[in-house]
Amino acid sequence: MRIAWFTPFGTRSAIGDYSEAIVRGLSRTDDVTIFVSGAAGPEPMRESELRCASAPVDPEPAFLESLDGFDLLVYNMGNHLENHLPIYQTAIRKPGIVILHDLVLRDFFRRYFTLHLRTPESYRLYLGVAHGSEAEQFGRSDEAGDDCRRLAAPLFSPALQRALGAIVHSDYARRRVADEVSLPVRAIDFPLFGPCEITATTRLPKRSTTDGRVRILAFGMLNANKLILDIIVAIAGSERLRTACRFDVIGQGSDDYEATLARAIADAGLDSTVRLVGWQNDERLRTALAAADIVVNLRNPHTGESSASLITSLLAGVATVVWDHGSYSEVPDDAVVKIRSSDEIAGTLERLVGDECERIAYGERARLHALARFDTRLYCEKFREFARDVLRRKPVLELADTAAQVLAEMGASHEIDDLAMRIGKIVAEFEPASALG
Amino acid sequence: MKVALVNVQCPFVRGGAEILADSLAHRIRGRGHAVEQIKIPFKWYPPRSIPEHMLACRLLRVDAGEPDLAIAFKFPAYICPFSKKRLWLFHQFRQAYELWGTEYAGMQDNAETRGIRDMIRAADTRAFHSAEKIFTNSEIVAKRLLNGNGIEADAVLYPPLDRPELFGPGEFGDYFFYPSRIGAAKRQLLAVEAMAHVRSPFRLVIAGKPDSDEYGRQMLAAIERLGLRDRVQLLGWVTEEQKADWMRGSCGAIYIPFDEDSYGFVTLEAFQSRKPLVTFTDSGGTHELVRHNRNGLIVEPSAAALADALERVWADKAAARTLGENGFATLGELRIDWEFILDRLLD
Amino acid sequence: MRVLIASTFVPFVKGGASKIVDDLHRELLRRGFETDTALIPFHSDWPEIAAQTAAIRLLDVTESAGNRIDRVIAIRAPAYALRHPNKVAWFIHHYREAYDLWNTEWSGMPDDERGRHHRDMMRRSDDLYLRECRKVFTNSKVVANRVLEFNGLRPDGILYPPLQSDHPFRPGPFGDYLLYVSRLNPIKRQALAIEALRHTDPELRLVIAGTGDDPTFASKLEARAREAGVAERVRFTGYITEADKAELTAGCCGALYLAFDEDSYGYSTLEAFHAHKPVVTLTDSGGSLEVIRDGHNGLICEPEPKALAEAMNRLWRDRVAGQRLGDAAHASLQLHGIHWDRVIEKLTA
Repeated sequence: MRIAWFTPFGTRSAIGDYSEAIVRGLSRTDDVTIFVSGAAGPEPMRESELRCASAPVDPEPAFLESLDGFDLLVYNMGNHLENHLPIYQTAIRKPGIVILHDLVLRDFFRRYFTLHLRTPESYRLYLGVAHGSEAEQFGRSDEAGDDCRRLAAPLFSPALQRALGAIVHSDYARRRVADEVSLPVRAIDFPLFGPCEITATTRLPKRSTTDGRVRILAFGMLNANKLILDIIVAIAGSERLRTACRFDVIGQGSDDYEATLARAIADAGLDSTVRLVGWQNDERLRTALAAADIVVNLRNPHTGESSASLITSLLAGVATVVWDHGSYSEVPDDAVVKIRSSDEIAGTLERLVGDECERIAYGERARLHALARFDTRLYCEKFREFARDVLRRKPVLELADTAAQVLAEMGASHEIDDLAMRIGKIVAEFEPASALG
Repeated sequence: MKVALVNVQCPFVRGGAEILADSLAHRIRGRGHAVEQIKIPFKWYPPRSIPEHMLACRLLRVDAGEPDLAIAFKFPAYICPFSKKRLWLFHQFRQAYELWGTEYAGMQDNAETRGIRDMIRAADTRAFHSAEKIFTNSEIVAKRLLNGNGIEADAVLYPPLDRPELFGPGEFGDYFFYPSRIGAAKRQLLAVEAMAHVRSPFRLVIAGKPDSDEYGRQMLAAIERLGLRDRVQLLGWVTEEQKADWMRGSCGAIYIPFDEDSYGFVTLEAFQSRKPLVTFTDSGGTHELVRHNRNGLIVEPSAAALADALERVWADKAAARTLGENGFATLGELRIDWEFILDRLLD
Repeated sequence: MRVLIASTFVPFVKGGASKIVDDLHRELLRRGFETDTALIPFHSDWPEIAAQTAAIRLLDVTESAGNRIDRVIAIRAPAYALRHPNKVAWFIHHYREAYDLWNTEWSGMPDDERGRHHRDMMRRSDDLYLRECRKVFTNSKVVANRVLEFNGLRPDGILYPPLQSDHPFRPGPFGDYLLYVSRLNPIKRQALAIEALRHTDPELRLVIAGTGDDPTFASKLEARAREAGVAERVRFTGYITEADKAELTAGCCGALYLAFDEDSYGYSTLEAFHAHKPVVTLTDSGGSLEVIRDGHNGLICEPEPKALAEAMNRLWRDRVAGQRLGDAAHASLQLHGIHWDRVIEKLTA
């Protein structure tokens, strides 16, 4: 297959990592061209031996026509406007497979309508159409935070309006998408990319500590839902934890949030226990993981995404504590330690800190589980299979499009007359029996 | 009764199916019925045109004017909905079946085109189930119907000649006759070359126009090169009446196309004129009617083998006559006549 | 140049439009164009029109078996919905129930949401697809005016359908009868001619040629003639061949065209023109008034028996004057371009 793969490709982009890994895998049997979004922007693009072209913002007819030469178009969608704008704009014009890296795309669409199109009312309209009038009300304020609402009304459906099919990376996300759109959607377990690749290859040799403290690690983008604050509070309130562990936080957040965290650490007098390390490159992260005894990967509320950082720590063979919901629930109970409330943090950490055997056992099961489940070659196989199934449906969808166009020309309205329904029924009858159901 | 014949139209192209539909229309009128031919333009490329024309057929109204019966012949015309629909299947859209994956498929074999292929097959099966009766024009089409769509045809109706009454028996003269479009697929060149191996004093008479000037030149060159100017006669295009006369006076007919679906009108013309037919093992459709040493000869596709077969027919006139009579009887056995066809289609 | 004539037709029904299609096909062939005709079956009930229009829109006639089709000439609606970059329309008539007959006793379309929707779809399709044509021609001025009024489109010209080239109509002596060739039905007003006979010269005869959709109508007319006391002066030919029609036309002293408010002037008017015969028509006949000027190439009178009788008398009494009118009628053919050379030239330019 000739595949056009639309993706952000910045050097720090996790989706870029993912794309690089997948395209390498697909390139063994298929002819892939990467269409890079944001190439003209400030972020540096990674260099790669893979064939790259540019995904233009506001794509012109000539560019869109040139895509007809590909058998399959793939669009990597995420919540960040600048990274995904040209991808979205092409996706809604040339049907292909959309890969949802974020389930919540509200921020993308809010900024798309207010900043790019300058039609803020459209954002509220879209919310209302997708999620009802209550959601439309929320759109009136420029929201940030309140992730519960965001997950209740994620607004991913506009990105799928012309899609032939969608790929997500957890069963949770698959159910959410299937509930809202009638489109083939498949959940494929993450491949290995970025930091995961590093931890997958070889077992990290455990580095013993010099000070006898148990190493607790949290890493990734620092958002409020990562509950770093809750962890700090839990450690502060436990005499055991204060003295027995060291908690390192790798990653960056907003200036405000980092300041909040720093203040909390200072107020609790935990300067010698908790460290905000800041952003670290893959190599340093690897080292930190090698030294870690426990990883805390809490996300509450979650926003539907799958966690690459979770796979990284599982592969590193480190006992990991997660919140039991979303895609985190899909890891077996014996491979990660699951909690359901912040009250459980202290007790859980005390238990793990006190029991090395249990930590090691969890770590081993975690790695075994991850190795079996997260595999790039397997991912590529499943991707290809899905692509074939979806492409098989493409002629029917194109016919439906053509018929819709003719009906629109004539001004047919399905509310008044059954002509559109009649034609829809015939087209549906034409659909070959498929594995997609 | 009002009968609608529903067919496919390739504007500016007139092929066997069109000729047959015209013959059928004429014959049905002969029985006192009113006939209208409904022809639906069909363009099958690029591949996405196919589903579009299928949808068009589902929306067109072949019941306009309230015919009592609709007879359809080809894809996608037989998709048109009609309550009393019968099919006389000439052939399906072969690109989606036995030609799939070959260079003749007309489209590449990939996931998307498979989607189209599967749409065609599904629509076919549906259309076949909605028909009251399904006839085919040959055994091979009936077999493909069974293999491709799991459907058994009600019967095979072999298309007869447009005017069988023109053809009849006569003397066994001193020439073999090969009337047909002239081209590589029909292999008249091979017949010419065969004459170079012939010892007995008979001739070869070829009627028809060459599809390409090039092939015509090649034939003339071969005739010259092999010194066959007195042994091979090229008539060019002839009328049906002239063709019937030449067939009547021949000692046998030749029809040696490469791998055709149908037995060809030549076979019928020979049988109707009670002349033995010589054909090749790889000619395809002729084998449905021709049985070696019964009503004709089937030999290896070489000039020498053909020459040998012609010599054998020439040498034994009595045997040749028997072959010819058996050929005529075959028409009766297989009911290759308009009355039978009309009875089955219209009853 | 490969020209495809495209039209819709109702199978098993004799319709005027198919004559135009056949004649056009023949005339194109005569002039060396590679020609074929695509006739698409059409069910003319109003709820079915939109779906069939959509079907036509889905057909592809840009090429056939690898050969490009250079021009499409679309005749009956909605054949011009066919997608083709080089199509012209020779527009014959609208689906009037959706236009000027909407909400009248002549329309079978209900004025409810669904009926209005279908009406709107028809209008919109016509508006849109006619505009896709490079040129739009009509078969008469009446129709041209309707295209302007209903679709806001000014047609590119009027192409009156001519007689086929090898027609048998020819001049001849001016005999003692007037001829009315037409289908027999009330709207053609044969009864008016019969009635007029009561007021004409007693030697003046009338020949009525044609058959009716309703087989009893002919006997009704015959009864009328008997009641009017003119039965021996009226001859009903029933069905006649073209050759007989040409014979009758050649020998008459004038032809009649008495239909009510028709779009076109009717083929019989054209046949009379070719035969150098004057035509009498009525002030409310419609299309015939486009080509007949009173006292110049024919006579126009009120749709009333005495007035018609007077006109018929004029032709019957003064055969020389009639001949003059008839010659002018023949010249009108050229004047209005009613010949195939011009029609083909316009349609294939």
